[in-house]
Amino acid sequence: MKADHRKKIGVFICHCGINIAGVVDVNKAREEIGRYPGVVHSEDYIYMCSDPGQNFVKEAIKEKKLDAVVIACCSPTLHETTFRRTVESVGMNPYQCEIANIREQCSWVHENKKAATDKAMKITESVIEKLVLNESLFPVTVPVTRRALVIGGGIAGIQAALDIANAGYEVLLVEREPSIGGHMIQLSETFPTLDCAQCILTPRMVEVGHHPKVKLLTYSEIQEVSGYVGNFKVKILRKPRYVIEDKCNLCGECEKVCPIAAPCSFEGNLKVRKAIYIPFPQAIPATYTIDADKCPGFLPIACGKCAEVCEPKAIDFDMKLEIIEEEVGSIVVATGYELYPPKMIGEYGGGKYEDVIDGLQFERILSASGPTNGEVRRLSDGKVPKRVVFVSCVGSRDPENHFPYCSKICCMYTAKHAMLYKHRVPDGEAIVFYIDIRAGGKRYEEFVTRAQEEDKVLYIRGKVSKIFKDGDELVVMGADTLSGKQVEIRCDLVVLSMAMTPSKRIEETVKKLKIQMDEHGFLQEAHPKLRPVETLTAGFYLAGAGQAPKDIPDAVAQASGAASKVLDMFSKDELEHLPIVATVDEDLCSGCGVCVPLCPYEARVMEIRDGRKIAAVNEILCEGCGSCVSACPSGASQQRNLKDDQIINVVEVMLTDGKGEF
Amino acid sequence: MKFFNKVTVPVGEIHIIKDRCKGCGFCVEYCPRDVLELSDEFNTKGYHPPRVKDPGRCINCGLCEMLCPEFAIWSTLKEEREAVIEG
Amino acid sequence: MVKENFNPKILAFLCKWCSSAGADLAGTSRIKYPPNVLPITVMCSSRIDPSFIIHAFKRGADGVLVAGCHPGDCHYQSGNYKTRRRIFLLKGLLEDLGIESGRLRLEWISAAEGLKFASVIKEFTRGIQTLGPLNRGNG
Repeated sequence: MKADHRKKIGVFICHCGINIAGVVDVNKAREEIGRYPGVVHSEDYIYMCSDPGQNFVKEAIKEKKLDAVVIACCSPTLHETTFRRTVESVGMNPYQCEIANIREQCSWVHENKKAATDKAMKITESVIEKLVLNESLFPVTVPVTRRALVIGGGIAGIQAALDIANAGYEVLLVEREPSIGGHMIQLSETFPTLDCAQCILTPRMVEVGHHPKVKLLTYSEIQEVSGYVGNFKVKILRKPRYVIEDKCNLCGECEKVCPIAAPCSFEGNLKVRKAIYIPFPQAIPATYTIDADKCPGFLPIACGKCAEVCEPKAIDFDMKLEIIEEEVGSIVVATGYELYPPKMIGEYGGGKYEDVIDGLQFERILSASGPTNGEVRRLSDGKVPKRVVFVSCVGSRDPENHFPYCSKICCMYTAKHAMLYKHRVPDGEAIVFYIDIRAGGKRYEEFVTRAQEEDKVLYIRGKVSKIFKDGDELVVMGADTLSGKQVEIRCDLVVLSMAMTPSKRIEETVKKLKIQMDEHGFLQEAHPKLRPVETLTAGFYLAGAGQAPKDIPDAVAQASGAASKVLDMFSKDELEHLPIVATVDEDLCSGCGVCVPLCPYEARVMEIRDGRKIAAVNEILCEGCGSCVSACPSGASQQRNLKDDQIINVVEVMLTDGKGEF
Repeated sequence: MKFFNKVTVPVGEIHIIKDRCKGCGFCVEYCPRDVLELSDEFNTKGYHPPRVKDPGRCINCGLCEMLCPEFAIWSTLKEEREAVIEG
Repeated sequence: MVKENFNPKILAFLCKWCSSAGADLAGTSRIKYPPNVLPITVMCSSRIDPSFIIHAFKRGADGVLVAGCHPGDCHYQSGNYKTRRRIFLLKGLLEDLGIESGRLRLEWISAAEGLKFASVIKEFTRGIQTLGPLNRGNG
């Protein structure tokens, strides 16, 4: 550390109750750090982030005319902003306040108190060393585009879009499928009220479809996102449906004459549709769509029979793939879930036997508008099954073979399915194989009890080992752990509670958006407890089952939470952009241009000054990564408050035991 | 694959006047259902006329009829049949 | 062979968005690891000039860990790719300087990998203990 001085530094060591003080000797630290060159004030307190704690900081700044402050406490991700605001309130530039992480990266991970204390002091001293060379910085401000993009048109996306639109801001709602509604619109009834899913969802779908502030883009995908928070540029791919939405009157004549049949994925592949189809009658937008992969073709028009019979002339084979560019300020990601395919569990015969189906398929069978008009029938022979076995936790809670997590909703929908089956087939038997019953929501436990007591659903605690077909029947082999016996049950239909997994092609989506996903592909929240609707990438918010398995009330709550974050952003006139950007010393720059292609944000350009080629930085685009800085051969490029000499000084102080002698 | 419902789709029957054919191959090339191929036999002009290799797949779209410059091929509706989808 | 009574000095350069957050998660999860590693958090692993690492070895580090986001997940898109290339080249150079390449380690640790952070620290510390103190010669 250079002897030429130098700021007057105040150090505040937090005990964090016993979280820090239980391991780190805060008194010793206070004393020793108090003797570090430049430190004119050294203090410790039980909770620095509390009001009294912050007052100590303010008073010390005023009394001792401090130039800079180090708070040795928890991770900066928690309170850096808190303390920077505190020092700003008494006139100190917030960038003269730095945090030394002596909790998450020290007291919480070490047991040896002496070693932890030494390390805590070293960490604090290194932060002091860096802080000495900090400049006072002022945020770069950027305007906010007060428009939101919501990716995903399921219940979470719809809720988020409505909340933002009702607050008066424009929303782009992009949905991959031809209609919004997600998986909720496939459901028959929802637990625990047994509300008709379509009755409660279609009003919202209609509202969002007709909302003056919502631009609904179905059968569309996000192609590219560039820019940064408050100023995103999005390229949206609009797939051609070859049917003009506004002209289609749903008469259905086209469907009758279409020569190509295909399985209908909305109906769980239990029903056949045509190449020109509407996924379900209440689709929003209310229009047919041509599945281009199945249609015989447009170039040339091979068949064209649908266009011949279309009275409103809604069919347009000349429609092209369109890429539209939009500007938005924030993005809510509500991409939802898929069910793990039954064929992945070979021992249960999924994909092999027609009468081994998953929960969404059973929902369609139960649904009054489904393939059987609400009559419970099985696919193989159309008969009404007299005994149905429901298997819980298929693929979930199985770390050795499939997924370690619990899919949260299956216990509830299995009880619902069993109950509804018994209502429709009163002389039928419903048997559920379970491991535990997870019914943690409001009135959920009562719902499951009702299934057991009123509807006489039989619950067997044990896993199913194998399911196979014997003649007309399915044989389910499993265990009954409460009686300690193996069981073999012959039944007519098996419904598997398949694991909830993130939606298809989530990896592609996440890469395009540059947000994070966890090890299972679920969208990563910024903090598992305290920031469940944000991501670590500013401007992106999360809602729904895309983030983690959850039921409808939680998805709706999370969507409204995400919307509130968006509205918070929109309530400001401008956003502040971090000022720890890259800089160029023109005198040292040789114009080599090595830095320019390194920047992922296109923030570096070459300019001509006085006939010389010099590198320059666009501060609004610079995100402060520092790649260009470390590549600069002449040292002309530095990063504000993270200059080369600051880092070298930090390295020095961490490795040498003496103070101020290098 | 099994389904709960049935839909009917048209099946077409191909008619070829072999001696009109001049072997251009448009019908084979553009048939969206891959129903035709050029046969090995010769017609009186010395060309290989098309033949139906997969009659069940014809959907009576009529594209072959529209494309043929010699009016040598057309389809008529044979029947409406229950659609079958392979697994 | 672990040298007795040798407490290595190890510097870890962490990136704020992934590896430092992973280190924080190790802390939140109270996973214990040896205290030999001193963390320096920068915004991105690509901020790390190879000369910092050489300086660290010169000034007393027995080992240096550089940890960034997994390839494809860099908060700044491509910073970690640059780091990967730089560290690869640096390792070759270090061998020529007589510094065993095992003393410099590059790891990808995400914000969700608290366990991984702790186990990397434990392994690396043990590894450096086995290698012994870095022979800096005289001066």
